[in-house]
Amino acid sequence: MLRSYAYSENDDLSLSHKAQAIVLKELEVARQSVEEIRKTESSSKGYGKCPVCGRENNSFLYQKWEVPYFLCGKCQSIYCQCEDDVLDKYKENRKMNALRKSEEYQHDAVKRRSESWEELIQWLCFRLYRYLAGKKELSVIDIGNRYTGFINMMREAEFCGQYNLRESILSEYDDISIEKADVILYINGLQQDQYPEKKLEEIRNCLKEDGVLILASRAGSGFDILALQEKHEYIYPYEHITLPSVSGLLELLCKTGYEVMEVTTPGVMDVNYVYANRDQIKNSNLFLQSMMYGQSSQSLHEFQRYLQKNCMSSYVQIIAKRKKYG
Amino acid sequence: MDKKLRTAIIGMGRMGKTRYASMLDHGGYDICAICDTDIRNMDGFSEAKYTDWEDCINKEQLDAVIVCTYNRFIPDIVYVSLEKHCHVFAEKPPGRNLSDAIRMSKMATAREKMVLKFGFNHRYHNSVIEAKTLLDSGMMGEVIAARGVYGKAGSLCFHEEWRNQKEMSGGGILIDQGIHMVDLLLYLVGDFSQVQSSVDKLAWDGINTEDSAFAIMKTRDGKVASLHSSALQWKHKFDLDILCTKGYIALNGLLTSTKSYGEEQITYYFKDLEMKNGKMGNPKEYTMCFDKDYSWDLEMKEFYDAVTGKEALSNGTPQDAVRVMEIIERIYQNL
Repeated sequence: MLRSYAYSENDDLSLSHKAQAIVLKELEVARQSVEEIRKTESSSKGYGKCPVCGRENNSFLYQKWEVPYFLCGKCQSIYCQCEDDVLDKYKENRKMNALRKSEEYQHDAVKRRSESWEELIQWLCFRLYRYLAGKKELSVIDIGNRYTGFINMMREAEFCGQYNLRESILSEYDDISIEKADVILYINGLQQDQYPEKKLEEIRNCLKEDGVLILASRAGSGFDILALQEKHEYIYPYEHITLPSVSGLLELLCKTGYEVMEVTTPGVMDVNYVYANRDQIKNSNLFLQSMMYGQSSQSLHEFQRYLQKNCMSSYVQIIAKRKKYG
Repeated sequence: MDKKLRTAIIGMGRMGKTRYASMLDHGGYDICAICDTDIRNMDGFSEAKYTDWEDCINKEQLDAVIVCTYNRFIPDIVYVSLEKHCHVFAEKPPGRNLSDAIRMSKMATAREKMVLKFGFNHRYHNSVIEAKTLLDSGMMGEVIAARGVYGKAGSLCFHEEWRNQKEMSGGGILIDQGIHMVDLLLYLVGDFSQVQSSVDKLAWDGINTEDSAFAIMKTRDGKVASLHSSALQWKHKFDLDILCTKGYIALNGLLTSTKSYGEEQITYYFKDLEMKNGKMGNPKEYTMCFDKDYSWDLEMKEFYDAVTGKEALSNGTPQDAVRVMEIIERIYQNL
C-alpha cells in the first residue's frame, strides 16, 4: 500500500477551513433541520445494517442531536441510518442550500481553502499523469462539488478537457453530460450516502475502461472522529451518515469492481480538531488528555504526520480503477 | 496467459531463485529447466536439472533463457542463447566490461527477432517510477543536477566474495552495485558526455578491486550528476537527490528482501519563493512511502510482453546496457 504524508513547518494548531461565524450558522441550520425532521418523521431505522459491509446487529456508539450512531462490529465503520425521505428532506433544506450558495459562504471558502484546492489540483495533475499514462484533455465528472472556487479551478486545470458537474446544489454549473469519463471525482459525497455500494457501482458504469476514480471521504477510523465522537463539532447528522473505516472502504471498492491503486489519509486537521475541543475529551482517556494538554505544538504537529503516514487521519483519499477481469 | 514461454534459468543462486519466484507469479513462463554448477542450489526444485549450461540450452527446447550467473559467464551464455534463437534475460552487469556489452548488443542486433533484456530492476522500484512520473509530467520543470549515494556495509567475508574478485566480476563495488545508480542517473538525468572520477581502495584489505568510486558527470546540455558508490558506508544506504528548475525530488531508502536499505520513500517539494508556507527555505514537503516491492515482477512482465510482441522493450535494452558500461568504463579510467 502506498502511504503518504505532507510536512509543513507551519504548526499552527488554530488553522481552520471555515470562518467561525459560518461554522456556527451551518451548525445551527443543520441542527434545526434535524430537529424538525425528528418531530414529524420516524427518522431512525433502528440499528439497521452497516452500509459499508452489510453486517447487522452492530453496537450503539454515541448519539448526536438525538440521532444514534452505530459502530460496525466487522469493518469498524460508523454510521447512522434514516428513512430515505428523511435524508432527501435534509438535502433539500432550503435554508442550508441558500447558506451554502451564498456569496459569504463561497467567498469564505475561496479565502480559506484556495491554497488547499491548489494543492489538491497539483496532486491530481501528478496522480492522473501517473495512472493515465500522461493522457491529456481528460473528461472529468465531478459529483457533488459545492464550491464555485474549486469548480472554477477544476475547469481551468491543465489536465481537464471536458468537465461535468453532477448532483450539486450549484445546479447552474451543470454542463453537457459526459457518458463515460476518464476521471470521476467523488469527494466528500460518500459520507452522505446510505447506499454506497449502489453508488459506487453506478459510478463505475460511468468510468471509461481505463478511467480513474478519485474518492475522498471522512473516515470513521480516523483520529479526531474516534477521539471526539459526539463532541465533534464538524461531524453531525444528516450531513455525515456513513463514515467508513479505511479497511471497510477498501473492501467495498473491491466488492463493487474496483482495483485500488493507492490509499492515503492526507488529512491535516485531526489534531487541530481534537486540540480545539480538548476540554471535551472523556476523562477515561487520560493519555489523550495528557497529550493535548502536555505536548508542544511541534510535537502535536509531528503526531499529525504520524496519523497521515499510517492511514489514521480521518480524511481518506483513494485512487481506484475499474477491475480488469480475465 | 496467451502463450507460455519454455524457459531455463542458468544460475540458481539468490538472483536465480528471485527470478524463479517472479516468473511463477507471472504465470506466462513454463520453467522447464534450471542449471547451476552447485547442485545444492537446485535442491527442492522439480524442474529438469543441469550443471552444464551448454547442455541445458542444447538439450531443452527453449523459448527463453534467464541468465543469473557470475558476471564472467554472462556474455558467453547470452551469446550462445541468442545464437540458438532464444530470447534472453540477463542479470546486470552486462558482462565485465564495455566490450562484453558491445558483443552481446551486436549479437542481439544480428538476431533482431530475439529479445535481449538486462536486469536493471531499480527502474521498477515504486519511488523511481514516481520520480520519473514527476519529471515526465513537467511539474518539476527541467532537471538541473542530481546526487546519488549508494553504499554497502560490507561483510566479515567481504574479501572472499566473488563480487570483489576482478577476474570473476570485472570490478568491485561500482560494477556490482553502483551500476544501478549509474543507470538511474542516465534514466532520470540524461546521457553524460563528460566524466571525472576517483576510484580507490580506501579501507578494505584483501580485495583486488575498488571499495569506493566517486564520479562527477555532465551532459552536453550542462546537467550535472555526482555519484558515490562504496562499501565504506557501514550501513546500507540509497539516496538520490534530483534538483529541478521548479522543485526537488529525494529518493531515500529502497525496499529489498532483506529490508536493510530502510523504508523506501520519495519526498518532493516545489520551489516556493513566495513563502506560501510562511518561511523562506521551508517549502511544504510531500512524502510517499512504499511497503511493497514489485520491481522483480514488473521486470519479468516487461520481458514477457516484449517476447510475446505485446509491447516493445523500453528498459534494460542492449542500448541501455552499452550506455551504462560506457560510463562505468570511463569512471574506472579514474581521470
